[in-house]
Amino acid sequence: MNITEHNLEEDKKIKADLTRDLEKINFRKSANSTEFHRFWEMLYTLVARDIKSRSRQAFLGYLWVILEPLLATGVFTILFQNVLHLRLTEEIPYPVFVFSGMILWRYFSSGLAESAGSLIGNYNLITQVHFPRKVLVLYPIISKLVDFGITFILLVLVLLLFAIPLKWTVFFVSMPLLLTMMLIYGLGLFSAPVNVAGRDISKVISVVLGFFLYATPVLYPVTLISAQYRSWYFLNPIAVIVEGFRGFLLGSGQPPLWAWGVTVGVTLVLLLLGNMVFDRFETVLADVI
Amino acid sequence: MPAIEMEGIWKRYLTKKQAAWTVLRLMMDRGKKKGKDGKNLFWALRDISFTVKPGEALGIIGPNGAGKTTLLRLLGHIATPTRGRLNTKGRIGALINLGAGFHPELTGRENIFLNGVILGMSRKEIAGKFDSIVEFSGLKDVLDRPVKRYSSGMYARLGFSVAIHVDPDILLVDEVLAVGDMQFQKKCYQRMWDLVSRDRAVVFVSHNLWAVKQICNRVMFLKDGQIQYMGTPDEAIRAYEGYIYSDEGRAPQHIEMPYADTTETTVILEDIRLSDGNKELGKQIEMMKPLNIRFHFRKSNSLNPVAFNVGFIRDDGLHCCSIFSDEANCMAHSDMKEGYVEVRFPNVLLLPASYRLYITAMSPGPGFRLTHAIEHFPIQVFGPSYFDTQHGNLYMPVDWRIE
Repeated sequence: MNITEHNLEEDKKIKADLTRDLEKINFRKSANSTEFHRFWEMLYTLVARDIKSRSRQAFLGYLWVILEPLLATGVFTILFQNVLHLRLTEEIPYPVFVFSGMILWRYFSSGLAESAGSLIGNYNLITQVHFPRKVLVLYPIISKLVDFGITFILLVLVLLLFAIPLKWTVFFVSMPLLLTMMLIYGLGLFSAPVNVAGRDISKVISVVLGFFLYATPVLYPVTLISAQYRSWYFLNPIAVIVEGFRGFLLGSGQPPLWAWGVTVGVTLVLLLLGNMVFDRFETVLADVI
Repeated sequence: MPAIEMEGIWKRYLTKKQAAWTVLRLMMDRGKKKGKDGKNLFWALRDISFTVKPGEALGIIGPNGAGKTTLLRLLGHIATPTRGRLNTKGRIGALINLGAGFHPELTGRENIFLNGVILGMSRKEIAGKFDSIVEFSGLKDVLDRPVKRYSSGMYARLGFSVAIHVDPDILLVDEVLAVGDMQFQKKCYQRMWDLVSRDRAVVFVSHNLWAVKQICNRVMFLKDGQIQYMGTPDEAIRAYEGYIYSDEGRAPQHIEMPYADTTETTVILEDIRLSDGNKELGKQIEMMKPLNIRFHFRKSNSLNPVAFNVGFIRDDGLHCCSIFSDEANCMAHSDMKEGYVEVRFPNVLLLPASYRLYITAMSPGPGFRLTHAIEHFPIQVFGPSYFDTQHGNLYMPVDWRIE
């Protein structure tokens, strides 16, 4: 085969390619995706990317999703029960108590950390393609929700193991869960842009989260807080959410109704403000990152 | 109805500190822009206006830092202009960097979907075009390997294959074709042509003037954020070359090459002058006329003989010719410490284009020659305007006869 022949063949192939593409385009043109459609396509794809890549990076892969809260629960159980000999819970075995709070707390803290750092982590996307940027703040919340789902199933198994009957109120756990997601999203919309301006905020978040673990009834029951301070205690939305979540699951008591009201209010205000801040920031994002 | 309409666009970047304040200010005072314009501010683009119609390919050329990439970013709605009006019609495909959002741990197959969605296709659309994407990339065999195992060329090919299948109404291409082998580049140029012929708009930023000339029907020469010239490719490229070869542009470079010669011969080449035998020439050289190159050399070590070599490289990287003085039995002998060298070409046969003229000093002999010094600078050959790249790169004097 000489050079001209080769070129002819190649040209023929490219032409064939072209006609095939043309045919496709003619009836595909109408399916031009709208901004809204694009948002969901991006969300799905980024969540899938996140989950797939995380499961491949570590040797034990996705197993870490359940190993981490299990190990943390084990450490706290040994520390409080066997080393310090504290009796923190009455009816519910301490490991079950910790684990049930731990999985929601972990969802909140890891979701917030990822969401706040997501703009920086995906800066190569931001500087190269146009798309609704909010999807970057949202996708870690969804992919971490998958993790949460898995640990929740594990929790149900743990309850079976300890022969603790599930309360019928278990169906209400979707409410604190939804509130958690909204809270992360609202906080994420705030902190992700600030994180771009100066990377300090992710340090601040990790410090504050470290503190809030102890201001939230994950490791100890609310009854440990003396009654006079309890209304202050319940001004912390995540404390209300965790207490409510466990209450619906195990019937261990609910925060007062006014606390629920405050939490919902704070969450909605954060979402609203976060949205406003983010919308304004979006126009300069590609320049300052 | 133009595909791109840009009117009086200004773009300013903020410093890191200003950016931090902007974020805070945007949060505090309802986003009112305070009137501090024009003070210590760097305008990346100033007052840019143009339109691109469907079926038109606009080339953007200019030196580094001219604002070419900023302009593309604005067109891709990645960044927003500080002032001015910008309208685009239809779906935009931006090839500003290939493989946006590729995840190294995921396989080529998975990354096709990921990248495709990020570039604006739906998953259904990608599934429909999947075979075509794979075929275009020529990476069928490694499709299920994680892309972290790909070479940079393979990475770029996969990225380009996905991007070209977006079938945009407006395609923005930044200097991305530099990667990939010749055959792949050819396919890419062909694809850009196809888009233009199907009434899509293409904006192509490149330093490869030859490629710009091939693809674009209008070219913008951008410098310091301003349009210096806009017109036909030939005119715009001439304007740009005029700038490159002016004193404002790149000065002739002086490079002393590091080498492993134990005798430590250092040669300095200087005072390079071009003439046509009568008068001195600048960087403009006429085709079919004589060319004399005269330069001075100095050796720091007199022990070794030195030969010289002169050659031309076209601006797209084609090495046109290289001539060695030792092959003509001409060299500076051991005891000669300095002197003048004169090279006479009775007839310049290079076709009109931009070239780099290089002069080297080297150890003489057949086979491997150790380079002691190299000097190179751009020149431009001009001549009859009907010569273009279709004529190759060289004219050979010829007699035709038809009987």
